[in-house]
Amino acid sequence: MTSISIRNLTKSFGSERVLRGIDLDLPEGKILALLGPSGCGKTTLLRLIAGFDAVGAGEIVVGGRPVASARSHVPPERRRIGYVPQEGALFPHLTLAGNVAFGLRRGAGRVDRVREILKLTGLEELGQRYPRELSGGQQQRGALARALAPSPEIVLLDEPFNALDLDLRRALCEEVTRMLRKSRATAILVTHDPQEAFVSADYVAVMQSGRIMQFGSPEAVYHAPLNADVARITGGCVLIEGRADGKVVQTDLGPIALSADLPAVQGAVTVMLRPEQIRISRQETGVAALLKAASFRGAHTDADVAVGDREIRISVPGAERLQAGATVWLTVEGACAAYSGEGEMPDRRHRAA
Amino acid sequence: MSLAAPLLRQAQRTPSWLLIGTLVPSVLVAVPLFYVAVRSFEAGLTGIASEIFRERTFDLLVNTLTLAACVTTAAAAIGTAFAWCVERTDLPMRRAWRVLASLPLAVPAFVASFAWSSFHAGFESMAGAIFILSLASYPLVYLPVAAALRSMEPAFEDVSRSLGKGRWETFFRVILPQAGPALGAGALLVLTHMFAEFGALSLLRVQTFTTAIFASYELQFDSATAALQAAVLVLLCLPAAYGEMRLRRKIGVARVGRGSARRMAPVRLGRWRLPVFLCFCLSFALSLGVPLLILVYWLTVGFSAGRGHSDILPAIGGSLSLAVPGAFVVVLLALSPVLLSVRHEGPLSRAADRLPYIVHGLPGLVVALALVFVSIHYLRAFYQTVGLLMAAYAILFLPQAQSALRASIELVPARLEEAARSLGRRPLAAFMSVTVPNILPGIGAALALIALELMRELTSTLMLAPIGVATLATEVWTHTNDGEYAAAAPFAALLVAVSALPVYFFTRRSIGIEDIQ
Repeated sequence: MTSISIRNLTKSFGSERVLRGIDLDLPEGKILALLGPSGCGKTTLLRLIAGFDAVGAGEIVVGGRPVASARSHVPPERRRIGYVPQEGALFPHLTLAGNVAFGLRRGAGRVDRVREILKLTGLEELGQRYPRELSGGQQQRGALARALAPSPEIVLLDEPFNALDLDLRRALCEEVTRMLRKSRATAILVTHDPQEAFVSADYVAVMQSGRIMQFGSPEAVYHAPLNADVARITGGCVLIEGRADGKVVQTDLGPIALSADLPAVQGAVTVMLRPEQIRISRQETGVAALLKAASFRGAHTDADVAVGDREIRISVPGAERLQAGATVWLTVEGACAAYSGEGEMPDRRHRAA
Repeated sequence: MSLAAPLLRQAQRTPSWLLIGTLVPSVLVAVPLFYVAVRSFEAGLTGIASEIFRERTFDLLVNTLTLAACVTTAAAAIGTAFAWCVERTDLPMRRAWRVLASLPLAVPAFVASFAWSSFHAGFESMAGAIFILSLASYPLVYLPVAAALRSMEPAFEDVSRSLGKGRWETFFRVILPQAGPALGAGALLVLTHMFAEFGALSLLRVQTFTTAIFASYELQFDSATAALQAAVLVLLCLPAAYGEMRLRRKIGVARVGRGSARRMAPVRLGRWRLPVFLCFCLSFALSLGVPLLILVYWLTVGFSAGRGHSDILPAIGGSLSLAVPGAFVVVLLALSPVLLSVRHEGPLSRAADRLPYIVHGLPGLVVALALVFVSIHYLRAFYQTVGLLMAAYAILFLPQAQSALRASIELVPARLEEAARSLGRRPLAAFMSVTVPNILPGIGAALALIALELMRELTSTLMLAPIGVATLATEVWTHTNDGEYAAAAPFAALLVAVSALPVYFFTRRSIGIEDIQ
């Protein structure tokens, strides 16, 4: 069953068009990540779904019930949509348990539900603490617990890990995903961090300039981005020129197969490879290149190599020591993406299989 | 490492000049409490009992509590409603209202009382006093609550709505608890002001503890009755002032995260937009417009009669001759406790820093009585000198000077002085060459603020000013008391003009004008 369905949604603030026609379907129990740079409209989309702002045009249907269109607006308190804002925003005047109980009806089941949800989020010992007595990660899990307590149709998470430092961020992201799956919640997570999106979501919607540029599985949007913008938003990329002939592209790095998920192209194209797809070797296999500079980054080394008159930056894993000025050989692993001219415009409908 | 610890302790040792400088204001502030304690002790238990359990005392208590409770409730309701409308709705002209709503503070309560009582004798009653003082006091609630609403994390409201709570429930269960400390502190400030109010109540002929104490004092300088009434008043004031200080420290926890708060879409008032706007206009007219119009009326009457204006220059001179030296004394005395508390955190510095705030609820009347008592009994030479009045000013205005100074002193990091020390300066030299130049603008601002505040001070000036010295405030009081409204008007008008400046700065500080988009 479809949990949320959005048709041709637009929104403007004054003369600024923030959303330019969004179509989206998300099945029940799945997690969607809205991935995009700041200002792309992802937070606005979230707020329209939650009901905090009125839509310009289009329609939002949640659990089979229309909740927003240009003519009607169900207020947020009647939508049954949970919301986890940036930095959690636990009410400082209530204990953690008080926060979790806030959205629950008075009655016999209330105390049990609070205990159950605190257990699910691993906070059962901390119910009587006030938010200021909790760590950043605990506050964030508390905010999720508060949103999940009334069993909402959907949970919306607005860059929930932004305020945390990197280590905690990665760990908490995995943890929150686990909790969402355990509670079988349908969830939409807004983020600008591709790793966060890939780790947590079943589907990723890549947004830019008020549109969804691509909708698909994390693997699809990473390995077969529909255009160069999507490629840049979803991770590091190496862009080189090439000539396409159906499913194969001729490049300075030799012939590369075009990803099976992408439509065939002809003629002059821009080829997109992920940096880790280009393998470097001292054995004489592949294309010769000059190593111009190497910058050690810990788990990998960033290497600038010149192939012919073109310089590209690639990512070399492992402990291999690279010496600037040496000649190396490059091979390409896997398929590439290729775009003719400005790149393909994406399919406007985004429906999950 | 073994060397570092003793060196560190030495570097942080509090300089003795700072300790002595802190001791003086602390002793001064304790004088009123000393007075109340000594006089109560002298009266003995039977004396206290016979004075307290009189019908007269009971009447005064009822009047004082009725007035204070009604004004506080009304001011809290008006102030909170205004703050919410200005900060969170699509009220027409909200940006203008943000400043306009605090302007009634520019009319001292006794000036507003002069205006209304000259308009109609019916305002000389308890109901009239409640009406006038509520309108004069609501900005004391409006300003902190508006600031709290402005800085509140908007996500709180979003979350509450997403959890199924409507607008009203969200207001009472989420917004109001967050703004609680600000609302409570503002309301308690109004309460202490009402306990301490003298000028307005005297002009409106409402009998409360302050007016009764003044009457006793006029009969007999060192009256036992006045002292015991003062003791009761102090017992009313101190808890309120203490509570306010406690609440004020809780303000500012409403923001959880870092980064700037996203501005929220204002609530649409719909068909209530015009009525609410008219309410704002009406209250503005009543709290500022009508008193000013009456003032202008009496000014023109006075000018056409062409008399009394020879007193204006001497009164301005009198005000300045007291306010300017007074400001220097107050700010100088406030400097040490602030420096001590900012730079040398510890139990002693905390106590010295807080004592004036606890005592700031004391009415000017009680402070003046206490100083008269102390000077008559222990320091005869000071009796009826300007020095005594300066001491009263210091006790009454230390907290204001402290908070004005604190803001600028906290901006100069101790690191600067440490750098000067590492370049070979001794502690005092480092302080003089690095810290003082950097806090001079702050000191200047504090001086100006306190001088302007002192110009509108009435009660202690009335009681302690050397004979023959009249100020703008005392002239308004004297003329109004004698029913000479036209003669009072020019002094009142000047006072309003003088008051506008500190109100502007106060508003700027608590609302953050520069923050308005």
